[in-house]
Amino acid sequence: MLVDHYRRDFMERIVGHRVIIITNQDVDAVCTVKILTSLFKTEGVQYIMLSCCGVSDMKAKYDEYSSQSDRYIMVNCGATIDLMDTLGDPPKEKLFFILDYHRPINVLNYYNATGQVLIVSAPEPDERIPEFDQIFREEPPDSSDEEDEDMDDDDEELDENGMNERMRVKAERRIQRQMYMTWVKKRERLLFDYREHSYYSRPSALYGLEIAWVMSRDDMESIWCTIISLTDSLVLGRLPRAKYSEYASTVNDHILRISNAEKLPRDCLKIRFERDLYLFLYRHWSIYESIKSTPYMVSMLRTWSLDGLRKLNQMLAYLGLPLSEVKQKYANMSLDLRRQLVEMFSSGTVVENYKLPDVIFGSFVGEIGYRPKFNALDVQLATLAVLEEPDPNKSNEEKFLNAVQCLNVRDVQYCKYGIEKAKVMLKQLNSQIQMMVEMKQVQEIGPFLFVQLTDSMIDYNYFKRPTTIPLLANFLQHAGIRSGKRKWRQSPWLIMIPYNQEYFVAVGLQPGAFEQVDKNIFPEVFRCIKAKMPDDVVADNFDNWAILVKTHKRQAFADLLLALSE
Amino acid sequence: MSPTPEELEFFAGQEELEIMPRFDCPTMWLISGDLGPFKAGIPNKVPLWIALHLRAQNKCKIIPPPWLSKAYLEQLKELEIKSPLFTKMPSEHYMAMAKMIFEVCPQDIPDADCVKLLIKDIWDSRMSKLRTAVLTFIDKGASWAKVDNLTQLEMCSIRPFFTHSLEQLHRFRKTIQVARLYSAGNSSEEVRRRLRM
Repeated sequence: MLVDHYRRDFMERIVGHRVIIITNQDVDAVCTVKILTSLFKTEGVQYIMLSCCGVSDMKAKYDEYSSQSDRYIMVNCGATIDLMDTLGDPPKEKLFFILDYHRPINVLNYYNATGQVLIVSAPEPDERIPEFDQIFREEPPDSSDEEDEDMDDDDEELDENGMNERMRVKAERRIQRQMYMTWVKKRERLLFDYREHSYYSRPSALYGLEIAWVMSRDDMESIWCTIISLTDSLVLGRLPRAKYSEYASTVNDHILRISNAEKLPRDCLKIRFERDLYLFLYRHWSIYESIKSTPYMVSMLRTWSLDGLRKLNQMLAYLGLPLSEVKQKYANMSLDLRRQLVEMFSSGTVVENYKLPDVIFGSFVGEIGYRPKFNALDVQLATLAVLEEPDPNKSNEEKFLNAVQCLNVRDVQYCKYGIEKAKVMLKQLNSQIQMMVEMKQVQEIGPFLFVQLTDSMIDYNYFKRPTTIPLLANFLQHAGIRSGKRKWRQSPWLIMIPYNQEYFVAVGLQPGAFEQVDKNIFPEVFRCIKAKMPDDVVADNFDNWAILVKTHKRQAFADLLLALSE
Repeated sequence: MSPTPEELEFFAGQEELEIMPRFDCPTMWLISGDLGPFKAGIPNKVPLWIALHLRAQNKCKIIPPPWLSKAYLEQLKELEIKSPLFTKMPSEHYMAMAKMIFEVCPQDIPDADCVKLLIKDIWDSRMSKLRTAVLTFIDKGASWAKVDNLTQLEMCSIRPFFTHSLEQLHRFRKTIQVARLYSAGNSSEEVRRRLRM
């Protein structure tokens, strides 16, 4: 069931109750949680926040806390699975509000009969969910057995008319049964087509902002959280650029609405939408380092090779940026060069000669008082790094809470810490790609391109969960295609990343996933494989294009995948 | 003991202020007074601490008091700078109130940056007048002075220093007096008798 009216269907059912918020661990959930919790604080709603990393974790946490409350908000978890079934058919008083960007929405959640599951993130018009009649229908009464018995009992009463009557009824029922079987076949086909593709839609933080807006409790800080979530969807390849621009202009309208005609005083948070460079962390690093760490630039310029480095130097010289300046910290660069950077990189020659059309993108910059400005891209990377920090002493919940702190605009301590961690993460990413290209680890297996990452010198702890795996996976794919054969563009990829002693993470990517966001069929494929090898495959995440496979069963997994693809 | 600035802010919180509530609420009877019925969109007078509390929860909009505006403060500043004496301030707690309002909701005050500057200028000029007054007082060795239109915060800012330094001066004077009496050849008992008077 959908939530049409935020105030009537959502807030009024929550105010006055204690709420349990169950979230997935990704940056969008962090942002949505921040918006919702600040809304709840002003409304006086008590809440318990639980962050979980998979389906089994969610179930365990639900079982532990189910006696505490009747209202549950599921952020970025639960839309694609049958919620009622997974949580063990909770009693009628418990309501579940789903704010999830995973698609396709499970039809049992959408057409929930008991009215307990309410979907806040409404599906877009172009997501064609099958109609109710096409999926649910009453089974017609069983014809064959009963009729025969009736016939035997009523043998004595046989007369001509009665016999014809019964024959006719029996024929009717047989026809009905046949129609039902064809309907069932059609239903199977429909559901298969519907579930085949997995993709992502509007980030949940946008819905969070709309709820806050409806309650007149939105402010600049909530808008900033929404911006971070949008940037996260762009960087991790969940939204195509066109959609990102569309949502960004919606957010810009919100900004204009709040700051309206009067000039805001210095001390308030001011956000501007402007064109900016798509270079990771360039304000906190030098431009040179930043170019060498941004996946897009590295892949397009091929800076893993000497040739690529030379090309990079050539491009910088062409733009008029002296190497000495570019290798310094950004803050020490000369002011004129800093001001001209966006213009330089958007010039026609760069776009055509070096084929870098996507270096410039619309981004948001915030400032408070006279403090240094902060860019949405940097804050998003910092939050991501804090969320995925490979520190064995910190629990996942603690990392989630730290990530929420990163979104605080007035206290930038966590953000600075996150930026340092993000630098480490990007360096790891780069060295991984370097190794893959140099050692030619890409193998062609059947229609797939297979990359097996080995557990050597590189720290994989940053890339264990679907929160950050897209960074690594898309980068690998892009770099692999740029360093390899042209026909690799059409093949899907399978990447194996070491997870821990027992398991590897198997990641499936569509061809061309790095440059345009496409619907992924791998979750369905992996589901079929899991059905065949239930013990060796663990599909616990909410993003099922990355699942865990036992180390010694990797070969069997790959063989099954090949067999299924034919 | 002199009240600290935090305590003075607490007293300032009791000044009345107009707000525009965004919610409806019937009359609330609190210990320190009644909070009249709130109706969304209709301005209401409440104490400052309640106004700021509601504003922090985004439940109301603060209507700035008439003196917290650029035009009025510019006039006040002119008067203050020209006059050798202290002028009457629009409110006993103008500094504390302004500070608390700016902490919570600077966006509700038009021209907030200019207003902040003007208040600071007025404060600076008054403090400098106060310091020269104190200096003159000590130089002349006077024993009493009458000052009008000083606000609480300004008084409390010099009170600890002023009283302590006057006490020290008094002790010095007494020592000088004792020394003179002794050197005039009086016995210690005579000195003590004279001083005890």
